[in-house]
Amino acid sequence: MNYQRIIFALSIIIMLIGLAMVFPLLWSLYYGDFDFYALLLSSSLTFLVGLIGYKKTKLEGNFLNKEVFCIVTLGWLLASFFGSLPYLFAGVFSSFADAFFETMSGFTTTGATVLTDIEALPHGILFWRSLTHWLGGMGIIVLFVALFPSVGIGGMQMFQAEAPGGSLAKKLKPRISETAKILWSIYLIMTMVETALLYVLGMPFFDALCHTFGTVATGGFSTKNASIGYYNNVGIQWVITIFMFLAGANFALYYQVFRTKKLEVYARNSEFKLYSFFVVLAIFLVTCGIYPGGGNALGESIRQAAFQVVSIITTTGYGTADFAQWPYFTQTILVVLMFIGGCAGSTGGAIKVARLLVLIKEAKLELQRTLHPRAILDLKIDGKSISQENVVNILQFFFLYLVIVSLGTIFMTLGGLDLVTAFTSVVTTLGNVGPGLAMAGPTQNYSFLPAAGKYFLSFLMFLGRLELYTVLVLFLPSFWRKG
Amino acid sequence: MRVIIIGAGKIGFNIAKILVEENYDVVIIEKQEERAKNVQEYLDVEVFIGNGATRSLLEKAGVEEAVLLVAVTESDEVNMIACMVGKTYGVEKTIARVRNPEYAHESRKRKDTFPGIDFLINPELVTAKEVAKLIDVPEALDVVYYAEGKIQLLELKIPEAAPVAHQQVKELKFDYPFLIVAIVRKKRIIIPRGDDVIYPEDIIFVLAKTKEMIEVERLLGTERKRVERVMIFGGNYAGYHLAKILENKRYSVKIIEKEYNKCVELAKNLDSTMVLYGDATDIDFLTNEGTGNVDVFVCLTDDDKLNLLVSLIVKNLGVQRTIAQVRRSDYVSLLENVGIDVGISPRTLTANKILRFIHKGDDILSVTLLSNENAEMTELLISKDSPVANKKLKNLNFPHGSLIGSIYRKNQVIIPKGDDILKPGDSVTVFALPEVAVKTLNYITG
Repeated sequence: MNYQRIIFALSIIIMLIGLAMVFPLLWSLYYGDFDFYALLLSSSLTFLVGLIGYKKTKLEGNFLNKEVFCIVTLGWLLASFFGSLPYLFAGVFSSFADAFFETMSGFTTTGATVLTDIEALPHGILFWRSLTHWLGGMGIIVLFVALFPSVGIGGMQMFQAEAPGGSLAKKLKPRISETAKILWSIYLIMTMVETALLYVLGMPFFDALCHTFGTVATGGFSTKNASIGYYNNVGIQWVITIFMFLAGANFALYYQVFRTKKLEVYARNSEFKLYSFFVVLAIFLVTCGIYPGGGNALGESIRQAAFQVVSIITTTGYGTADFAQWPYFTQTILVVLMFIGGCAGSTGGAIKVARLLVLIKEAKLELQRTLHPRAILDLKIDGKSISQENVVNILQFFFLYLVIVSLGTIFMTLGGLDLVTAFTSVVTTLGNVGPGLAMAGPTQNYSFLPAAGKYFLSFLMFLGRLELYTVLVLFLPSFWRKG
Repeated sequence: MRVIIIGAGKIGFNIAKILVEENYDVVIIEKQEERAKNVQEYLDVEVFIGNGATRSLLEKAGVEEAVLLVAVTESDEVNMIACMVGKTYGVEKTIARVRNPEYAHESRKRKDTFPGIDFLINPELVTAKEVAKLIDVPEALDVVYYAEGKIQLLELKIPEAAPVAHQQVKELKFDYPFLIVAIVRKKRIIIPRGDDVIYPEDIIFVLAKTKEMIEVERLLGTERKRVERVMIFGGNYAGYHLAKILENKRYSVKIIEKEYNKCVELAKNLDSTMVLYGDATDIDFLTNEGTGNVDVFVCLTDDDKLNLLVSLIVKNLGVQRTIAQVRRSDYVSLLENVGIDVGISPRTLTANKILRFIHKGDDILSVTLLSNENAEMTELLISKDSPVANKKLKNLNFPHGSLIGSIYRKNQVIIPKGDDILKPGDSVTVFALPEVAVKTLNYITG
């Protein structure tokens, strides 16, 4: 491995994080808050570290496969490390574990928090919290690839190592840096439209921007303790529901619709159809669960169900109601949705609908194989055949996902947590959702956990965001062997 | 008129034979000396030996005076280039045989064919389309459409218990207009008159409106059976095309292929069709896959003997209808005696298709050869100065052995009677025996 190359790429990523901190700095200046110096210090320190690394190294040759994995995983760890500086300098958290958990939760768009009183935070810190969502949603590495096309060949591997859905995410243009630029542009447009809509519906501009970051990145950080419930505005809730749904769909489809000017693109995409089917079915079931005897009108029940279902399946984690108080049946459905997640190529987390689609089709084929032993069956999605390696990759992903959930739950119960809290906290952080049930419920936070628990859940968020393989490959002994 | 045919394989030979009979000056370019000799021996044509896609040889063959160039060598690329080169000399019509589906693939963006090629013919696709027609109308031995698909011509075998058996043609009074154009009995073609009798085992050619044909068939006693399950044996191009056509029409299709790699390729390119890897002569395998319940079984391998054997096996297992591809067109008529329901010769079909294109003129819309080339059906336009225009049919003197089958006027289908009148602008189908075909056309066009 060529460490110069790795440090070079990492330095650029660190500089990007440092530059990003300038935006909360401006907000802090605007509001005249006390966190100005903390942000100034973290921003300049981060940028400086990056700059030194950048100046001391040179980019020579092409990235090896191994190096790409190093850059993506270390890039995310370093981003979370430097990203936690503002919290520490501003004195929001006294322990590093808390600050790291909050930053990792931000970048991975999980939206789980260790804060008890969000509204007490200064504006600059609040903005940084939401901005980490926005950067992590479309991807720090994707941004890096978009801005530095010179990474060349390695760009494609980096993109795949980070993009949700891995190889199932489509390349839109012959050049990967062009693809990354298009994705970021769509993301930017979506952000502007939602911010404008929320602002028009009566949300203050600062709040509108922060909540938009939380929506389009399917993050879930709010600037209010009561999350979206604070506004008690039906219009705002529907706008956020719709944008969460859009952010959970494949971004490549927006580009295809824009290019072909045909909405049929959606009707022909079986992943999108399955995703919509899951959403509609879950809304129906949850409505059935909460309407009778729930004390709300049917319209209100549907709205609550829709908001919560979309919020969970897209792995956003915003709340308008405390679903931990809902009937067990609806809670179970929401927990199942935590496993599903958004589409490949979206900003959502968890297993992804595309993988489930392959798993469902493979199950069907397996049944056919039993009935027709001589049949040669080919797994196709939208007319394209999926290679056997891809199918195995997805089956393995599913297996690893379940293994990690099991081991994680065992680890969490080791500290004395009850099963529901332990299980849902693992599922929700691995899937980058945010809220779980019981002690990890939507109105609770994770501050009660010991430091070890916080680091462990941070690791799960990181593992979930980079879709297991990218991180786990670093644990292979042969990865570190020379030659 | 000079015609250049490149490639003297089965199809090239067949076309040359027919064109010579039609008084064209035929020049053949063939690479293999053996074949060239064979052609020279049997046909009255000029033969050059060499690569037909070269300027030098085409010039020698008189490409400048040629009105038609037919490129039917084994190589798709040679055929395509020959047409392109020929076109630069001003050849009016060029026809290339292209078998690779990747070349012949119809693009949604460009409707035209390749530059310089007027007509791409894909024998496997032609075969597949023909078989698909026979599956849509499974009781028919042949199906032809006229007037933009609004008129259907079926070749049907009259069953023993048919209500029309032993009846005179004039006694048949149905609520739907129809016309029995010809009866084939003991290999002889009869153009029926009112007092002719229909016997069981007769093969009749019947014309009717496409949407009323089902009713006409019910009255004739050749009722249409619904086909749902189709099994194809042989995963070559033809099998692939057929499976593709049928799965788009929502039939339930299974295809059997004995080469593993071909199976994988088929599975990749087909959608709902189930690809089975196995040997179709293995009866256990066939029984396990429920072959007995299949409505139509189609044999499309390149091996005639294998097609024949498998057809007999599946017939024995209880398959309703079998269709088999036979490379040697002279075997087709034999097959039907052995118990195979329909034999299909890709060579005849392709030659037929090419001839249709060659004959297509301003007035002539299409020409179809029927009943093993023993009769012709021509679809043509009645022009303003046609001697038959504006006259009652019964007052016209059509040559013996010919008749008007249908009239298509302003989106209206007329199955004509003696009092009907032919008007300029009508498109009519004319049935004729080969010996009077030219005479009949001349009588109409004047």
